Amino acid sequence: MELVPAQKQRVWKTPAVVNFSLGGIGAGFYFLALFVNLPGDGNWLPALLSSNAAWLPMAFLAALFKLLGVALAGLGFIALTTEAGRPQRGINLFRHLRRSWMSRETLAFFLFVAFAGLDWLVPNPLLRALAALAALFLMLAQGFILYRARGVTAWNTSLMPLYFLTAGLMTGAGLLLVLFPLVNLFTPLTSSLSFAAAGILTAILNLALWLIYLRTPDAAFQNAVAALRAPNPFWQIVGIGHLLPALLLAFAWANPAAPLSAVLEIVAGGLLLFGGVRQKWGIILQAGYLRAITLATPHLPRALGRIPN
Amino acid sequence: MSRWGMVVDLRKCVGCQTCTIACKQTNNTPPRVFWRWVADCETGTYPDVQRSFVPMGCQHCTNPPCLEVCPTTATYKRADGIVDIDYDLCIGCGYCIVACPYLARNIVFETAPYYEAGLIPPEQVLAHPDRVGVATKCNFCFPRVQEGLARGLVPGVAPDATPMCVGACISNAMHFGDLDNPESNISRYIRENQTVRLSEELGTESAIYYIVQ
Repeated sequence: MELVPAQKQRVWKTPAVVNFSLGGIGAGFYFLALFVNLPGDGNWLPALLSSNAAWLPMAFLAALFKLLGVALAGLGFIALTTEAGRPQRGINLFRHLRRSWMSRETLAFFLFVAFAGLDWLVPNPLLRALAALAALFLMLAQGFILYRARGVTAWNTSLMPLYFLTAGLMTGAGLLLVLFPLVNLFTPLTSSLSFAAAGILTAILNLALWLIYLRTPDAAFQNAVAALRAPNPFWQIVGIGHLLPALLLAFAWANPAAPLSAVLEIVAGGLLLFGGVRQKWGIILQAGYLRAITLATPHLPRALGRIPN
Repeated sequence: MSRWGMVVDLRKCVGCQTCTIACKQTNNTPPRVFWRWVADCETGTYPDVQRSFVPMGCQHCTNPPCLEVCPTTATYKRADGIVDIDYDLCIGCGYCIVACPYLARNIVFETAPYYEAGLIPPEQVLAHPDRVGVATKCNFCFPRVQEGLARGLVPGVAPDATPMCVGACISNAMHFGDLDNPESNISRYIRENQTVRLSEELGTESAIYYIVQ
């Protein structure tokens, strides 16, 4: 018997959406950007010290690709500080690594920052691999944070970590596609085809998880995600945020020489970013209903104040 | 070691909210924050409907979802089963609030007055700046319980060693005691009546039992 109906959570608001979105975009971008072959990588210091000005743009580009992901994830964390009651005690976040996924997320973020930063200063494949692992762990940890929030029906589902992983990679691919013309400006030999493929693959995976998520067979869950199943949000996320960019990327992939393909990739990248952010906004703010309080009894005793028939 | 718990006889609760007010008065909770509240429930389908009252609050679960998620260990479980919050550790992230399936936790970000004119003198005296920006909730009045125990009183029997909501209940619907002692008042109530706990399907094993029959 339902005693208190489900009600919207009002604790995690826009800053939480910003954190989950930027964390995923930043980590996903870093992970995929590792596969961009940039000649300026590791040469920023010699470039800065030498008089060879031709190296500087490429060194800047390499730094951008290595540090942008970290910066975005960092902005997400900064956004969170506007929501926490006592952010100045943030060091305490590391106190419960044994069980709390928020502690683990914080650790993942700091490892990500540390390894990626060190790799930028002193390029090293091991540091890069560790940073990539930390980035993957950050995306998963954000999903586990929602999964372990047992008070919210639409978050407390085991799909959540995998969804966050695919969403992070999808939006990371989106940002990469938006920024790719910068790479081509300096290193025309680098191909964007593999990133278009990554965009298509992650969009399809994420879309499949999204559709499974929306069809979770539980009445309370269905009530919670009703706003996301409505035609407008559904087509914003599925149509504009996944199917359309996948089609645009498929076209660009099939016709790499077409004059419009570069523009299509940028548009598709932007749409992938929109799709991922719109999904997370929907999950946190639209489907974030605290579960109903129930009592396993067919009848409650009648209150004394009841007026007899 | 005792494990403190509560039994609420729903056959007796009249929804007077005296427990709510007693809790507010004792714990000086700010406006819109209720550590103890009474759900006013309407069940059934017209014309066969009925109104019932269910006192709510922190359930001091054996497996508290709030404790698991707390990144700072500010939420902790005492040896006597009471789930409490260390205000000095809490960062006010709100994770415990979305993890709790019982709407038991609150957070306020500023000391809010009850009246538009601002904090009145009693509010100024009883303000708890340490509770601003952190999660708060019912703690079974454990300072009272502890003080009572130190004086040799039996919690649940002696009013001075019993949570205020229980002591204030006008219909004797609420009872407090030791769940681990088979001879305690609440163990007897649980044994002799049909009891249920809130949202049992979640496996939280709440320490508050409700008598329904």
